[in-house]
Amino acid sequence: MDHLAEKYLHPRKIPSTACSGCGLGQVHKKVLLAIEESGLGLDDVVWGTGIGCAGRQTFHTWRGDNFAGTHGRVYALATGLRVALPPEKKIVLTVGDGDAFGIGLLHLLHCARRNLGITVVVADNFGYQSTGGQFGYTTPPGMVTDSSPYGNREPGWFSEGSDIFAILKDAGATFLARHSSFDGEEAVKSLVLALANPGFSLVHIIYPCVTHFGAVSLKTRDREEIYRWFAGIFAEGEHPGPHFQSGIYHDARGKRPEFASALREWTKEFGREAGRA
Amino acid sequence: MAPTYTVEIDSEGCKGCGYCHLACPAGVFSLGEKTNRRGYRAYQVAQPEKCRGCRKCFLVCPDFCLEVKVAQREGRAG
Repeated sequence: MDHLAEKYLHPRKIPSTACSGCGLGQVHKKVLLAIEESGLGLDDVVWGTGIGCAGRQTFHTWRGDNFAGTHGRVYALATGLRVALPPEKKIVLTVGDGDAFGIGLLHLLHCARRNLGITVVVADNFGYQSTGGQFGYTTPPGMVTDSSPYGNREPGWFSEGSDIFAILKDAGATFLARHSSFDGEEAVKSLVLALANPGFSLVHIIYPCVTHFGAVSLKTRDREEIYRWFAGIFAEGEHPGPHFQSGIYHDARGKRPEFASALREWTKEFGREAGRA
Repeated sequence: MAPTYTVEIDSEGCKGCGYCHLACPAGVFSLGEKTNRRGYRAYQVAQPEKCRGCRKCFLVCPDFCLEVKVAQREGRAG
């Protein structure tokens, strides 16, 4: 076990139940590194998750306070917690692509609209992998999956030049970044900035699923081929197929009031005025 | 004298994905011969002296079983 697992995680949960070659642990580790680099301890973070591969591994592994929401509803639970908890307590949510960009998207957008003080880490494995590898909202078009044996015919959130980040930005998010789980210090840096943002932050991290996406969509479980395919989709310049850019997409930290803090201030002011009347 | 590093792999926690080997620019790792209790052939630190301390292996290891530490800080020899 490395020092991060010893410091922050339940030892009986390590190694995790994730498949060999699953990149979820890479996402998990980078969030822990960002927590460590931000000087935060077990008492400073409340960790929540949704459902799916991302939910399975992360919330109960954290030795501090943690909770699991129903699928796509963790954002609503976090909204209540944000209002109830002191502002210095960080709320970190590690969720999957289905949870954030599908079933929970409306809840997520309302968190962005309110500029709620939470850090959402979307661990994206291009579909519903924990249920057998069905296509989802980020599965690249044409990909063969368990539920699209002739290739995925649906446009996703990243096809035809679209990007879910544009919607989240318009909704009011104040920090948005994207990385591959194979990224190094730069991904940790984005997560540190996300944690420091008093408002709504979302870091989208794309990671490999070897068992379903690899075996069925990429036709290989070979780690090296999968590693190279991921490097390819994040490579600079024009190339066919899915294409992502690593780094910060939108940084408006401090530009909008954080919802719970503003509500707290208003309640205090309202109480004073009511006392005078 | 350049700093030196120690690289450790917890072979019982390793699932043999090999991402450390793929990410390492210096060729520190190789696939081990032994199978661990979980049935995985763990990677091993074959050439630790080649480590430059970039931590790329640590950052991509998904199973919390790899650590890179500074063995000797930069300083004058002797």
